[in-house]
Amino acid sequence: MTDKHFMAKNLASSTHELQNILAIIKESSCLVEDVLQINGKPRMKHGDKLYHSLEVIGEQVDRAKVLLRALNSFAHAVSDGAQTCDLVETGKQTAQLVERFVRLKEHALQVVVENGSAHIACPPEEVIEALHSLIIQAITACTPKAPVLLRLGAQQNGQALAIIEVAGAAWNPEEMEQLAAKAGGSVVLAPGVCTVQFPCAASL
Amino acid sequence: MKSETQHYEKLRRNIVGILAVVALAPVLLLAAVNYAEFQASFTAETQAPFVSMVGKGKNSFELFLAERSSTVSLIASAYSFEELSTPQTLRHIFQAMQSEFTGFTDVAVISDEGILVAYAGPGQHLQKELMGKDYSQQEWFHKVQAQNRYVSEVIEGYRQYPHVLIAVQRHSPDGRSWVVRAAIDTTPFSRLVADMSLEPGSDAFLVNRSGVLQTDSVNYGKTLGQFPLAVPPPSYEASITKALDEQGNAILMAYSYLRNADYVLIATKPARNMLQSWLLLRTDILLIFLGGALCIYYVAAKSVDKLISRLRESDLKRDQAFSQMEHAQKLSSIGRMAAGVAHEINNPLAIINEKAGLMHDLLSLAEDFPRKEQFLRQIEAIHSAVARCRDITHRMLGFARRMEVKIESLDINEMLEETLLFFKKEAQHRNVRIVEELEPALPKIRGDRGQLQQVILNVLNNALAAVGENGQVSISTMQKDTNTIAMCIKDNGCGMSEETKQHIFEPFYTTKGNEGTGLGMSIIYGIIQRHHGEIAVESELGKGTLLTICLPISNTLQEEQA
Amino acid sequence: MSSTLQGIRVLLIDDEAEFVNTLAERLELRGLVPQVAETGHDGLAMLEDSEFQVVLLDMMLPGMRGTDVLRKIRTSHQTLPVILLTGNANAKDGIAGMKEGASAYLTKPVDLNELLRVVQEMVQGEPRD
Repeated sequence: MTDKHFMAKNLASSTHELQNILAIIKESSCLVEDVLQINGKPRMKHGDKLYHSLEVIGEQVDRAKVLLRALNSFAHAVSDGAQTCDLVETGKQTAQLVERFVRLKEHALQVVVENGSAHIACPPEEVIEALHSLIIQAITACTPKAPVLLRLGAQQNGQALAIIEVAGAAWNPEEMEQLAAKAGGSVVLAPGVCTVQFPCAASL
Repeated sequence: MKSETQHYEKLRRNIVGILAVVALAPVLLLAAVNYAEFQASFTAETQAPFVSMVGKGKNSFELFLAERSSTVSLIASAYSFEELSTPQTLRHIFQAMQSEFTGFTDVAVISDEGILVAYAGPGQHLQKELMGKDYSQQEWFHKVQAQNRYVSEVIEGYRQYPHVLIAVQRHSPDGRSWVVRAAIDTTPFSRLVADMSLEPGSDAFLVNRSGVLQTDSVNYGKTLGQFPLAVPPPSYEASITKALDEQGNAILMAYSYLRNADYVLIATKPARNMLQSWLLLRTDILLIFLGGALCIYYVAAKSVDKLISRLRESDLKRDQAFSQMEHAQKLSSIGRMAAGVAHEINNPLAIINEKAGLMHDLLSLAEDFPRKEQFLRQIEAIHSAVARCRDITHRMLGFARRMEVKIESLDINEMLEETLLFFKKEAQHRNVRIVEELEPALPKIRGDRGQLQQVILNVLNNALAAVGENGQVSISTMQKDTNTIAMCIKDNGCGMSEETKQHIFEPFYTTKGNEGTGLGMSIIYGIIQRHHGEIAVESELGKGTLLTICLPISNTLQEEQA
Repeated sequence: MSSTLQGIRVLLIDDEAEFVNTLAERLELRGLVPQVAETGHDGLAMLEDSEFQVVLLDMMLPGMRGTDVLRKIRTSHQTLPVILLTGNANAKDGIAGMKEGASAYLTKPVDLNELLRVVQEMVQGEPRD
């Protein structure tokens, strides 16, 4: 087993475990809600606060789950040694994974799906790695607080496209080309727009 | 990649070249010496018969001429002038000469005034023509008068065929003198040449000193023709010389001057002939040499190939190690991503934790109500679930971090001091004495800061956890040998049982209550191993534990399979 | 224990509103006087305006990062105890923070009792050099 697989397996099991525990939290909070219900909210002191807390717990469990699902499917893809993936699905995962970095840089990331799915002949982890790095690249030097747009799934000439749009982004063509090439893709750069092309997989 | 191949090819060529030169030089020298000696002896052997053949030929010619001139001399002295002047007697003598010796074609007697007085020969008409002829002004007559004996060059003269004149002067006791002159047909010369038993392609002939052929030559023309090449310098011993013929072909020329006539016997043969035989012999030497050279080259090339492929392999291994490092770097970015997510999950977890905590607070403050216990139990369940999640995310973070390897120069003392910052407050609080005995001149080591920091953090944490109030933790560093430093962490705490000690480095082995930061001793062991170091534990239950970590100073650290 | 914590003014700087507000509420229930800032800028501004005895600072902040905020705090408040809060159990981050002058560091999710213990230590103990 290679480091990569070992790590992926570990990640998969960790995320799985976390999802299970989050389910427990969800169950517990639901049970608490039931108890509240039985007792009758209006009669409870701090009833509103308790309800609000339970609501927030539910929301946060969902928030964590989204992240975990993305990381879990990514980990599974890597440990299965997948050589193809759906660019839209993988792009969405990337967006979830990179969202934190984008937010720390005071940008907002928005994903636009232009086509339901786009099967490409590239390993998912490489695609995630490339898109992740490209987005980080994009927000390293650009208009402050400019929104980051990730368009996914458009296809042309047997290539599926992932388009990163950030106003005022100063692209570094060589580096971007290298990042894309690692995943088997290539880039076309225009002011504020980085189009990453991935070869479509042979239809199943 | 191509330039790399070229690099190896160049290296290979250079080594093979050097090896070949070193190995082949003595062989080449030997071959050259051999060649020279072979050539000398071969030349001697092939040329010697040729030279001796000419020597023998020369002797035959000399003998032939000596016999003829002796005969003429004998006649001159055995008979008186009167007898010789008598045509009958002279004819009689001539007949005897002809029957005894081949080649005599006529004989004449000439008075000291140079007048032909008698002649015996094949044709009577010639006799009439010659009778009374005056030779006194002729060169040969002067020569015979000066030298008493004279052998002419080949001439055609009146006789219409090539011949040689032998003239001998006779002085009678009464002071008179006369000359007996005999002509010799040169036909026997060709017999003499034939007797030399020439190889095919060879040629032998007589020339006079000015290069006029005295016999027929196979290659250079008929008698009295001009020998086209230069006549070699005088030598009465058979000698050999090289020359170029008219066509520019190299020829070998063996020659010898005759003692009793102004002739040079020359034998020629193409040098190529000799060369061919020489070449044949030389081919053997060459083959042996080439064979040897090939063997040497083959062995050299083979071993160099092996060497180069070993080199290439090791280079490749090194490169692979590098690319593995790169791979690890890349993995580490995936790891970082995972770490980022794990980190991010801590935020909702923190919120859930706080909300659950708040609910707990609120309900604790509230008066009893139905199912309060159940309520609190569920909130407690949420709390413990969050704690479990935290452990997992921290494990993920620790794991992701372990994928990151960055080798740098590290000062272990400095790292220990830094890490101790964490524990000073706690130690103070619990009145634990921390004793530092750090070697000031501790050399820096090569390693991964993050990983070794985890090790230090964990072993210090374990030591502090082991001691109770008023305990003591001693930390010391030292240089063990030229390439090893040691770090010892000693505590006087609870120690561990024999069983714990045996299993301490096994994965998933934990003792209850030993929480730490999620990194077990097995991970510490793994990190130390990755750094090619050693970790040893000495412990006695109730007395304390001594943990010794040895790390190499110069470390050819490579990212290995996890 | 709670008596010593009464009235301690704590500044909480964290961008996770739900987290930091709930934490503030819980601290309040225990008699502390917390105030919340959701960005480093706000936090620094509040430090200028009012006195705090302890700062709880998240390392991962949008825009100005935790360590930058810490550095800024140290230029004006050399002895103010600052407790770093991080989702990362990485000793490296912690050590980096300690080097920048943090007084302690805790990992998220925070065990409230541990937080209170550290705060108490900070407030009672002598200021760091």
